[in-house]
Amino acid sequence: MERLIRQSWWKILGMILLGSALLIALQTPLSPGILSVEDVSVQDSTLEFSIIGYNSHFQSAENLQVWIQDKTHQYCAESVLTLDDSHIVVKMALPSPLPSNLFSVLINDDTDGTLASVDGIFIKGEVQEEAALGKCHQPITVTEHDSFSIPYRTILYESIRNLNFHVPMWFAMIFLTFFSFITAIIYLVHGKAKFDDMTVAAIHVAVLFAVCGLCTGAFWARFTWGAFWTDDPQLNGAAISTLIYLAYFMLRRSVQDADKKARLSAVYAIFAFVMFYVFVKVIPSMADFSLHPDTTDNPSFKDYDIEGKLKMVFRAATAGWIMLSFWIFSLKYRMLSIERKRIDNE
Amino acid sequence: MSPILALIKKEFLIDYKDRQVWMSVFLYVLATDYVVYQSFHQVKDAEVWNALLWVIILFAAFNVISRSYDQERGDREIYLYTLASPQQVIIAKMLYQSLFMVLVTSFSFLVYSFFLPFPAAAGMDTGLYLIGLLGGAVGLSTTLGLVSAISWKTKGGPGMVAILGLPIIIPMILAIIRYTEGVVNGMAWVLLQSYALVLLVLIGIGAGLGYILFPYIWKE
Repeated sequence: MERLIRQSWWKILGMILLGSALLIALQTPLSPGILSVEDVSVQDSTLEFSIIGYNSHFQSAENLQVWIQDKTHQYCAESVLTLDDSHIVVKMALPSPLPSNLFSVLINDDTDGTLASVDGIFIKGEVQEEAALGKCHQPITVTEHDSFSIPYRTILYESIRNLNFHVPMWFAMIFLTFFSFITAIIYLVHGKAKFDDMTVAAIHVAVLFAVCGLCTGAFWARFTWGAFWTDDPQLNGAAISTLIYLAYFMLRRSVQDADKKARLSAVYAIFAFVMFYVFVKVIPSMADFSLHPDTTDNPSFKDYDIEGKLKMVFRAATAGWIMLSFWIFSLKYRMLSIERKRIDNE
Repeated sequence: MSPILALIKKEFLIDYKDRQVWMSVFLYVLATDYVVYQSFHQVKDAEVWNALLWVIILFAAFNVISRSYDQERGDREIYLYTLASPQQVIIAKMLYQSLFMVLVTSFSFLVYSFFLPFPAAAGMDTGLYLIGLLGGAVGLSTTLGLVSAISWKTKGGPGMVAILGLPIIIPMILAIIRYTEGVVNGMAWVLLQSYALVLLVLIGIGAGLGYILFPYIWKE
């Protein structure tokens, strides 16, 4: 352990991983998408609406095709007026009779692939489910956008990049608290002061990362869910763990005797970690709902195509953040052991 | 007589001789219930009623448990080392505190429903609610048992139990409130099982870790 802390290869590796992952995560453009469908108007039997795209290439792309669809019916646009790369105005015959009120709007072109605004358009009118299938002059093609890019998702938009900050910060925090749990046990068994220093240093850095995770999470939540703080089981766990480890420092400050301080706080660190872990593991799966992905029936990032293109970037960022946290931990630990040597010499 | 029973008897006799602890806790419950009654006059929502009851019990538990090592100071502390093993001490403490908490919880429940009648909820199973009260009382005292032992050693007084205990007790109190809320809303046992299981797991972990870790802190 002492040797590992003094070696520098993992520090360099971690910084390369973190630096390149964050560079890719911040520099890669978002894939094109439909920002909104606006100005929907119905005159006589003509449906007119405009589409605002994001990072799209409506003007420069070839073979632009626009259509609307519900589960079984597809209706193609008759005229598409391209204003610029992200604005088009579409005119088409109003489906009659209407098979449903809600349609998805889709665009396909050679540069962007197929873009969709799911349930993006609402047309008033009486619904007849037995409507005739729509007509298209040329067959509809659906293609994938294949250049390397960050997935475009409504609600998340550009904030999806925060995935490489917020989530790995909590991973680093959990890693460090687990580390402190192990060193606290070793301290109780062996009674060597250096394991107490390790526990303290690890919890110090864990609290730092918890604060960073809370801040990045709060801003992300403000942008996507509308509030800095929400009643969410995982936020609950985060708040509790931060409180627990702040109480740990209160405990250390209230005891004078060094040996007793180390023993009492080691016991508290073990107890607190187990209770906290049971809480974050068990309670979220027990809760009725969670806004976080992957806990209840929420769409997870797997559906967001993170599995594919960005999995490697996310993994590199996670490894990098954990190594960074361990580096900060090793500095704090070395400070504490120098302090201890100075006190012992006096 | 086994040492654990002897220790429980000792706890009881000391508390009986010096009834100040009992009096203060029961007075706390009476006063709080009355303050709640004066501020609300009537609670129409069964969930609010239930949550308020548990907040009262939670702070009563802190009152009880922060005093559980009051007697073991100075010479008595040293005498205790010669009497029994640390495992016996912590088990006896937890058992005695659990019994005491069951009394305090039932008392709080009775006084609270005397002032603020229970808002009628359709299809509530009284037996399951009583199990919830019992589990909550035992859970609070086992989870806070180790924490109060730690703060006994810091000599930080009752304030220390609150600082160390409140973050740790949140999972427990949430599990109890969810369980009893479910009972009040007339949920079937099948749906309540997961909450009851969490409650049992937390009680088990609290008692188990207390058993394992107490020997490391009890002697100076």
